[in-house]
Amino acid sequence: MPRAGDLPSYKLAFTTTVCPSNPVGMKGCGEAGAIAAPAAFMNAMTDALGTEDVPMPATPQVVWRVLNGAAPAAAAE
Amino acid sequence: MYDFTYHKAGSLDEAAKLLKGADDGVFLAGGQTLIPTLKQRLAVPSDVVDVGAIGDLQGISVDGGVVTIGAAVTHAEVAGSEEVRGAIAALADLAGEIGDPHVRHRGTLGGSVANNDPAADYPAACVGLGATIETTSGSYAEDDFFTGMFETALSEGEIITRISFPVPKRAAYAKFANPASRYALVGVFVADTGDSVRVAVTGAGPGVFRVSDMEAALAKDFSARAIAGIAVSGDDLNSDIHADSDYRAHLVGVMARRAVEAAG
Repeated sequence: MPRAGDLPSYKLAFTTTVCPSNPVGMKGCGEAGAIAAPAAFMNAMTDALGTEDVPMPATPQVVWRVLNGAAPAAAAE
Repeated sequence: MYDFTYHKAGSLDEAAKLLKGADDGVFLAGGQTLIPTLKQRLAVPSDVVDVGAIGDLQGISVDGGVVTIGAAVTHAEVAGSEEVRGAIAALADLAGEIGDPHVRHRGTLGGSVANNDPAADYPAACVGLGATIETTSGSYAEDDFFTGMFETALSEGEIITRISFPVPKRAAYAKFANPASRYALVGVFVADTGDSVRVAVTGAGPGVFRVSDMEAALAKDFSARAIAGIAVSGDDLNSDIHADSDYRAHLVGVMARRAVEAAG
């Protein structure tokens, strides 16, 4: 879980490519890339652990329980 | 945050006088626990006495096989000190893993040890290395100092001045950090002093503790293999949303083996 302190220094800049299909030229934002990642990650996790029964969030403790054959704990409350 | 009167003490004597003169005063060092506590209105002191700039609490020295660090020295100073790294690299490494850069540039050794948070890193170094904690009233062996969760042997108005860490033959600290806070879910400091081995655990229980079975096994054979079969009971360990007690017990074994391997 990266936090502000983990970020390197960076410069902000704008690139402008106006969307032609609406009056103000707006576009969707960057969430699209984030949607597939958890599914891909959990697929890899269930493949590696050999069970579909891996609750999210797949914290280290959840993975440890699955590896040890114990009933996985429910997600953190 | 409620109103309070802020005082910046120029000396230990002045700090003691200011606290004595206050209705309900507290000492402030780096403020990494106290300020959030005040912001959440969990504490309502009448006076805050800042001891962070007192000259007697500064400085790092290595002399005669002992590393001595002033109580107001920040984690970043310890992490970046070539003297500390040359004498006890594990101590510099530990300081460099506390919190984040903001915490490390404000938080202090004395503040951390005086607060004795059960998930703080420095208590493991104090107990693992057999440190001596010097205060305005005297000095404590580490075994007498940490008395319980957020409890120490310090009395009202007593200030930690410096902490002396004997240089071990080899040592390492392995930490499984909470991914959000960077506090230790479990941290294990292992030190081989040449005469004996000390294994100090933080984060797992209500306060820092030693694992005597591991110490005895490592004294005979300082290898991860030697402690592979030693299980720690989860009975008295912490359970919270971050980790159950049995998972913490498991992590004590893993972190201890990692520390032994890192110490070489």
